[in-house]
Amino acid sequence: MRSRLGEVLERMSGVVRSPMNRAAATTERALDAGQLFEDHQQLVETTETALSISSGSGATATQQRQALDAASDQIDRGKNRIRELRGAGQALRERLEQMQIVALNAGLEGARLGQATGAPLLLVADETKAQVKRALAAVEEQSAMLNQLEAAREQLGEQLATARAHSAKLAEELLRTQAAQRDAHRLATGLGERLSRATGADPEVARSLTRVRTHAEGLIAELSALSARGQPAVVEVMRPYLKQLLRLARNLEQEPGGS
Amino acid sequence: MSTPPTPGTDPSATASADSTRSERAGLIVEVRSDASRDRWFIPAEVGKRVLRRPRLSPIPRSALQMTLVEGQVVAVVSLGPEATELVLCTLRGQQLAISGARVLDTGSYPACEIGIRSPLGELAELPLLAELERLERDPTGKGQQP
Repeated sequence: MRSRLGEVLERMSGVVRSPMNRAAATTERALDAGQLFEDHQQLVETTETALSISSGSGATATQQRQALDAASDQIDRGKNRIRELRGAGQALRERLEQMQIVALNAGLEGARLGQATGAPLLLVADETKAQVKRALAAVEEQSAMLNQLEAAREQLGEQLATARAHSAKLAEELLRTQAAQRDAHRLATGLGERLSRATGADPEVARSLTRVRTHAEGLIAELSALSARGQPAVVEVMRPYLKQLLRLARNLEQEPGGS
Repeated sequence: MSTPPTPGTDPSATASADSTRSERAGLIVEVRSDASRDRWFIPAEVGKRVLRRPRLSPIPRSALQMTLVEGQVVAVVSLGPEATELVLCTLRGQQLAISGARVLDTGSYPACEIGIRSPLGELAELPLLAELERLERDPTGKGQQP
């Protein structure tokens, strides 16, 4: 069925393709340039995105380094605190040892006085000795726990030092990555200017031409499909657009440089 | 400094060997060396007081040391390695201190043939007099033990 839609499509296709038919080589070069400019635009945008992401990563790395530094300070403060606790424990141990000596002397004196007179003194001495013994055992236990805490702190400090070294290396590598990305972005931007000089084409026009071609090919493909299915109503729907397209196509043909 | 004789080998040479009493007041001390850990009894007639160990000074050409206790210079017999306590004794009417012996306990203990019967077992008296006499014969403490 050769419908009016088919005729319109053929004419449109002819209008769109006519420059190519008449100056195929020139048009192909322009379209290639358009595609190049399109690719270049994407390249520039990609390098900008990469630069933005690596800048964000750099900020995160800085925050990580600050957090690790803060943790390291905390560990150092913990070391001082453990030292203070150890000193307090040592002072306590010395006081208890003194008390133990007092209790030993009281026990000796009570025994010397004999059972009748010295019994109360012996009782107090025995009780004091027992309490001091328990207190000294508790101090020893605390000292052992402090030793464990100190060992854990040292281990944590070593692990943190490793993490800080890795963080510093990561920050250094990120800086190098950012520098490389800035170079890539500068090169990509410069490439656009060189492309423009090499092809003699305006990048915006070339990209527009590529987009027009893509859209026109898409339009033709869709309309061809509808035509094949025999949909005369499409002509009525498309009439205002098709008229506008034909008018634009004629105008383009009549402009200087148009064929 | 030499170590004292083996416990119970020379009870006649001790300062007080009166085992006829049913209870004996005194101190139980432990003397450690690299190879052994000996426990002894010091009767209250000899052992007067336990002190936190003050600073000791060597006496030239002697195995003894000396220290200051309440303004008095006191000779110190060292029985073993460093310890935190000093036992102030009176022997033959003179003050003398013992270092290197850890005081385990003080009190009254049942008397027995060699000294006392304590929760740690039967303990002989520390032969302090014999040790002192030995040091008098051999001031440097490098000779043979009796």
